[in-house]
Amino acid sequence: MSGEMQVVISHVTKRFAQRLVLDDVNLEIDAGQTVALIGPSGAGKSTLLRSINGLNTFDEGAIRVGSHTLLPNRSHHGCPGARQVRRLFGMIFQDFQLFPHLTALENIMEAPRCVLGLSKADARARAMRLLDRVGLADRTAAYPQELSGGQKQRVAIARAMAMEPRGLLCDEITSALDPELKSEVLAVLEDLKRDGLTLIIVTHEIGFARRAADRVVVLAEGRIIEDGTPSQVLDDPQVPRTRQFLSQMLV
Amino acid sequence: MGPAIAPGYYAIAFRKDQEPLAAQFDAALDRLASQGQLRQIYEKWHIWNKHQEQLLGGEKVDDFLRESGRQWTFRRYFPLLLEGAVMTVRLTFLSMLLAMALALPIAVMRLYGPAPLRLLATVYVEFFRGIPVLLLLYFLYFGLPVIAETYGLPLSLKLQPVMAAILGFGLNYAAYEAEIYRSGIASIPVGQWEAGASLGMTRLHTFRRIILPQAVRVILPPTTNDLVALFKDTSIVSIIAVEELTKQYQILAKSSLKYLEIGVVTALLYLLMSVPLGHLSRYLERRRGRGR
Repeated sequence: MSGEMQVVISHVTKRFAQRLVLDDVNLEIDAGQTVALIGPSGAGKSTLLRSINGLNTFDEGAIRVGSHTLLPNRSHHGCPGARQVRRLFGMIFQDFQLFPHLTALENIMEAPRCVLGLSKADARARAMRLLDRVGLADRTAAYPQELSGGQKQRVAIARAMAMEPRGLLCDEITSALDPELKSEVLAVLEDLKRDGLTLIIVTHEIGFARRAADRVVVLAEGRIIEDGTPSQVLDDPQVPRTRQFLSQMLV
Repeated sequence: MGPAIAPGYYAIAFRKDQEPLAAQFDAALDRLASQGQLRQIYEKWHIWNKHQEQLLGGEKVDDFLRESGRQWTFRRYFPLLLEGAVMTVRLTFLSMLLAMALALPIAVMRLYGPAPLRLLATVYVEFFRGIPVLLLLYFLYFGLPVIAETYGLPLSLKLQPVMAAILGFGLNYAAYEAEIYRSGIASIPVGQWEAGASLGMTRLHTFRRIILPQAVRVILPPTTNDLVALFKDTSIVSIIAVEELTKQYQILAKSSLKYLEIGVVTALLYLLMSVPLGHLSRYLERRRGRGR
């Protein structure tokens, strides 16, 4: 089972114009792991994360998710590999990207209905269950603009979960939120972690990384410079660049 | 042709400062009339009838004109104006329907089509936006049948005036609407595409269910605005013998000489329809921000 959902990133390189955004990145993530990707801005964290489900292309290397392999320089739109990977990994965005013309419930129902072919009643029941789980059972009929940032992000998580993925890719999902709203979103993530989901989280929340992650990976200038348990990486960093980054984070 | 509804008159107009010339013309006409030559000329062109005798019989033209003005009461001309207004509304909505149906595929081709289709769509927009609609109407109505004849096509290509009008405005406005649609669709953040893709949706499904419904809200106010513009533009079709509101006004005003009175009524009819449409456009504009 764990082999089915293993993520293997090998020798992935990506350039934007002349700039090397990802520089020979190698990373293996086992099923059920919670991995926090941290590092200074512009390090390539989001680019790496978005490459895993084909939202970004890369120039060299390969990314294998379970039995599906993504290869360089292909538009992953409509590419069957990317669509299969997207079924395995849901994605949560920093700016939510809820569908503004649909209610919270409809946001969650859309993909199960059109991609999985669920009946309206089944999709509705699933959406209700998930909204209840993220603590928004009373906001089913609300439109995104009527929700707080934290509520929006919880709907977005429920929307991704409705496809019954094996893991979630989280791209700075609390960066747009006020401190008191961050905790409600992070609590939902910790709840999902207990379900055995693979979570790959790009974050600036060092406290959350310490508490919830099994593993912390530090990226700087497109390279992985440190990789280990939270206590190893956060309390006893081996690389000066990591120490410099962490000291800036704590200021 | 229907039965005659009112007598018409031939008149020769002179500049105000050329009274002597007018007097000379009058004298010449009187001479022609008294010698019977005027009747000969009229008969040659088949426009002689007994009313001409009455005119020549000394009754003053002024009296006739006054009399015909009296005959054209509000109750008589208003139903005819209304008929014209109905035609105007029909032209407007049918043309807009055609324009909208053409505009969506053109906009999608311009945005997402392969290079040849993209070029084709661009050429369409530039061409129909760049030529006057009047020229297009002339071509569709008078030009197409000539082409069919010249090249011996099996079909006549002779369009009914109303069909030519709807086709002309439809083709013309499709270019404008396509540009509105294009910018409206392009204004939806790319993140919405990514959200759809990350949920496993196809591009087509994302477009249909996520992008387009949001774009419609952006598109609706300027489209309604164009509907008002089209509504007034339809007056141009009087040149190809479609009797819409403005054409009816021309006919009625010429017959009755009530240019002012019927003009005011005609303008009121236009306003009665265009002002609410304009309000609808502004209402949709306001509602857009609320995003529901």
